[in-house]
Amino acid sequence: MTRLDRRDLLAAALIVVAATWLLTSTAGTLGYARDEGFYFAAAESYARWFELLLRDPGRAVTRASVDAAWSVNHEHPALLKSLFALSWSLLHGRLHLFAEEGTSFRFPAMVLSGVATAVTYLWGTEARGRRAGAVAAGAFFFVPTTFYHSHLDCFDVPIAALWTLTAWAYWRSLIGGGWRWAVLAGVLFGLALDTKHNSWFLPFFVCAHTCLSRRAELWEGLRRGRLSLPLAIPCMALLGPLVFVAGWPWLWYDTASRFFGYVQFHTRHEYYNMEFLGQTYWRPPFPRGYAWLMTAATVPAVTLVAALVGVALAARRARRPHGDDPGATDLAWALGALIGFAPWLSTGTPIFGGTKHWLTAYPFLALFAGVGVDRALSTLGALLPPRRARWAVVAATVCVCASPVVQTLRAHPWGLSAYTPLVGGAPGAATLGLNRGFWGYTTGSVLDVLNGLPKGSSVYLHDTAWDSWKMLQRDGRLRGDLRATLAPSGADAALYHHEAHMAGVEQQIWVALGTTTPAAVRGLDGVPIVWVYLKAPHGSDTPPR
Amino acid sequence: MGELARSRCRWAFALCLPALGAAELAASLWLARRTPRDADFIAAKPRIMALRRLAEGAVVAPRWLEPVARMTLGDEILPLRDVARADESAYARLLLISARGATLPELSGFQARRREELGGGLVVTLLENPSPARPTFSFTDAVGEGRAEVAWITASGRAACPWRTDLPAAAPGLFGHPAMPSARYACGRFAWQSVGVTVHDDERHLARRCVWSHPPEGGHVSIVLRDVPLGQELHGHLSLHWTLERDRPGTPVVFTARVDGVEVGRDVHRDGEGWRAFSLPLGAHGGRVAREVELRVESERADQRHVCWEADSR
Repeated sequence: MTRLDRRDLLAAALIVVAATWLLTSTAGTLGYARDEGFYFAAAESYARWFELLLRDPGRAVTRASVDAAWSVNHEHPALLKSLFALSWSLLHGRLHLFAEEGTSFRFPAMVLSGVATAVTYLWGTEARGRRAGAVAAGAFFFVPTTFYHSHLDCFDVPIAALWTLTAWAYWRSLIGGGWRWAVLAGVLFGLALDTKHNSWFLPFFVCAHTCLSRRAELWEGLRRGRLSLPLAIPCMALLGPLVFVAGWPWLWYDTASRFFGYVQFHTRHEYYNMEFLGQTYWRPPFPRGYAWLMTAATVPAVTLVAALVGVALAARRARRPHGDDPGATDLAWALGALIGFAPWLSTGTPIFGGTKHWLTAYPFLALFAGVGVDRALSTLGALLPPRRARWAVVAATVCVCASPVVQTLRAHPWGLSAYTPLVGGAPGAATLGLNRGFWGYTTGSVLDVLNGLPKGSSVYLHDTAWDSWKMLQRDGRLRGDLRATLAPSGADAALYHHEAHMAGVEQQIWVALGTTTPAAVRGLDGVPIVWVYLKAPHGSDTPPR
Repeated sequence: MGELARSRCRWAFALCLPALGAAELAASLWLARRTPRDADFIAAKPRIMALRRLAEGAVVAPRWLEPVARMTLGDEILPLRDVARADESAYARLLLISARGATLPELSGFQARRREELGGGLVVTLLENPSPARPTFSFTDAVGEGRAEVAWITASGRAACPWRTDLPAAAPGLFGHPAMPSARYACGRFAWQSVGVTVHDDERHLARRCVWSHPPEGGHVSIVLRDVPLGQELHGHLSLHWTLERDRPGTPVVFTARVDGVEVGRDVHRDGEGWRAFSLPLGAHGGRVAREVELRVESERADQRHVCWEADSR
């Protein structure tokens, strides 16, 4: 166990700043995903409510005001959208810190991506040393799909951050952190609940960890008629729901029915189409291997193998008595990773989100990877004389880290289309029939083509949400005179974001615009992902030949 | 375990992750350069064009590369009738444009006659069909050219569907039916109440050029062609929009062919069968010029019968 000192806290702060800087500085080439458009609209509604709260608090908390503002997108909790709202209204609206409105909405999620990376560093450092912590932080951040999701004003990376933070606070409360960390775990659990429903699995994590790591103590206590639980558990049970409800004004009225409505929305969520190995799945049973194969295909192999090494080392340690580890660290990390993937053991769990729905597992995989790399480098160092060892370890570290970093940065802004060499990269994945992207966000990669259209041209948006398109115009990245349409008929230009089940939309475009020749095709490593059609000079007045 | 073996194990353990990292990096950079790019297609276009003249059509493999090929090679080399072909049976020679020799399973019966590597990983192969079909008449083309007489026949009588070339194309976008072209036979107020050549997304999401023929409730669509040179059979395909093939919500679709007033055969399509070929032997009518061929499309219930077919005589 390494005691965290000021240097570690400084390193963690630097990680947050560096990650946030890298994300904000690469956001300009990324279009807006479909769901971001819905959250922009929700955040603006909430921002108006916050203004009312400052101006007239009494009126703001009335049911009419709350319902008017918070009924928008009430299928997701409020914390992140509130942060998006505050960032937009304060950092963009008042302080003019961002040139683009869209980036101001996204900023809180980017910071939380940095926080997730930093807490991975701190936990890894504290439990297994600084090198393990540093490698773990890099292994989490530099995954192409994670890097993509880290940019978005969505909830997937933020919930990974809050999940890990809560688990870390719980773990710290076990290793002598006392009531302060237990209370913090409770508050963080509430914030996680107020972020996304992946948080519903945190109680399983805490309970499983407690039962497995303290079974003798628990059994002894029960025999004496008392339940001796870690302090964090009652704190989470009490504070979590309080913080959750307090932070989500929608639940201030009709609390029970609105809460169950929220739960039902997710437990009875409709299914969307998702391609996997050449087949489009749209209803259960979904393939049981989906999460595992997609993880293997999208997380750099060196990270995954390092994580397996870390798990193997943990398994070896598990055979020894672990009285020196009151936090049962390996068990906590293993549970964190397994519980993140657990829903996909069921063939009824939707797969339409690709890898984003199990991002909460990735910090724990990264922690194991940090341990695996640290042990390999220590072994290398011990095999060589000290002077040569230093350079050999530096070179080996570069070899381990370069692949995830280069793959991640090369894949941007096509993160959802990025696949590792294990499946042949993006071309191999396209041949295998793995999903090439969703959410229509790649419009950001054809802005030069759209901005070259004649004045007032109409553009068929395909999968780009209306508000996502408007945000590109508000940012000034897309000309304001271009008109969006929701049908190819009559459009001067048409976007097509490829997904197997949407091929019919491209065929509609051929007929409506009178051409099968795209004006531009953009993608990753030669694999087409988004393309643009311009209306043929003869229009669509002849039948398709 | 001896000291030497232990030492080797330690070295192997120490170096496995750095070696894997370096190998993965090299592999990712190598794979990224394997696919032909726009510039490779553009550079190869003159040669592809010359070879295309030796074939009746061109195809691209792998399929996912086709948009780049369409963009760079254009309609002359990859016209819609090849891109949205019904099948390959009527092509005597096909030009396969591929990345590093990739192929398509449906071309397995073709024989390679010439193969050229054109740079950037582009390979073109002239393929020959050992037994190509010889169509004598394309019903799909004839409908697309406005040469048919189309009507909805129901209990309340015969409603002619006039050929219109002044209608706006109707393409509803996400989750909608196939687009209706500007030039079509209009049978009703709504775009789907028409007959016309469109492109249809089959159950494997492959594009199929075909004739949209939504039947009316309680009746059938009648498509009549005159002076048709017949082969020995009427060959074609028929399917429904892919979501209907998947969800299977409707009653079977019956496709009937009548030659000079006599029914020569019918094909019954059930939801889920997908883009399936059918063949109706023409018997004594074979090899003659028919005065009139009538094709009928009907279903017991018309709801969600988004029928699209293609047919020729061969």
